[in-house]
Amino acid sequence: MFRLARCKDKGAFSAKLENPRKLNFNKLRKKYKAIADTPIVMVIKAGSFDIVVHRHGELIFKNDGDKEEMREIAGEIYENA
Amino acid sequence: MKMHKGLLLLSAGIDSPVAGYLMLKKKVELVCLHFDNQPLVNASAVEKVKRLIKKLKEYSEKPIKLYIVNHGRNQVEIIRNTDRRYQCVLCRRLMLKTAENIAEKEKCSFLITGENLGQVASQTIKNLTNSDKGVKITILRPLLCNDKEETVRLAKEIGTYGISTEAGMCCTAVPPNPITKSRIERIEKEEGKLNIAKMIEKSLSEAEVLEI
Repeated sequence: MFRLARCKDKGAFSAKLENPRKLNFNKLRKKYKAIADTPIVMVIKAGSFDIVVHRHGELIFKNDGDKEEMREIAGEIYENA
Repeated sequence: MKMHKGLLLLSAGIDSPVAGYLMLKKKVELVCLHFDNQPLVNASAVEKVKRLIKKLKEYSEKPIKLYIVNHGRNQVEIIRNTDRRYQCVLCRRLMLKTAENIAEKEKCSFLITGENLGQVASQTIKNLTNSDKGVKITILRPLLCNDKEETVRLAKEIGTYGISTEAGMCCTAVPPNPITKSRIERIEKEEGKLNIAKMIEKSLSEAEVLEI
């Protein structure tokens, strides 16, 4: 469903959907605490991570951490949005 | 010869530290300003900037003061309230206006940037001109016509290249189709949707100031 890899500038991990789609921010707002919130990009707290969520489907994990947890959280976000 | 003082807009990238170095070579006293885009990015850029200044300090006769201003919050407001295509130009203008305020406080005669013509959307002639119209202070751009290779060569020579090219997190606010030939009337119309004065005031009041 998605691929987790270092982002373009290598400073963070990014999840990208294999079949890109728009994410439903209204659903995400109900489930996660938003640190920043706009119609096209949000920053949310999930597990041990602060995550930049783009409406076009990319997730950027701002801080490093356990990759399995990243995968789990990414899966959850994509399922819920 | 009188030592002039300039405010360098310093990012964690390759160009602005080189611009700062060139001004230091001309015996300009530097004050640095970094716009921190958290929470849209992580803290890596701020850490890199501090190390970049430590490197620049090797070429400076005086300590270098660093202002760190949160700009991520402003980017969020720009995204929420304006036409996405104008993000880069509006962001740029706000940065210059904020910088002008700090320059005045620090008695800097001019701003210094690492801008290079045509390198990114905000750096077309039209967008640079329209960004400059938002401020009265002189803006010096020592790298404006440099080839990237020249700038990279200099960055390697002065020891900033390695720091600038370390892993980082790119700006996540850049729109997919930024305007490259902006019209000032449209920019001012988009800017009118923001409370620029309040944004600048908040940025200045919460700025972190360090001396390196």
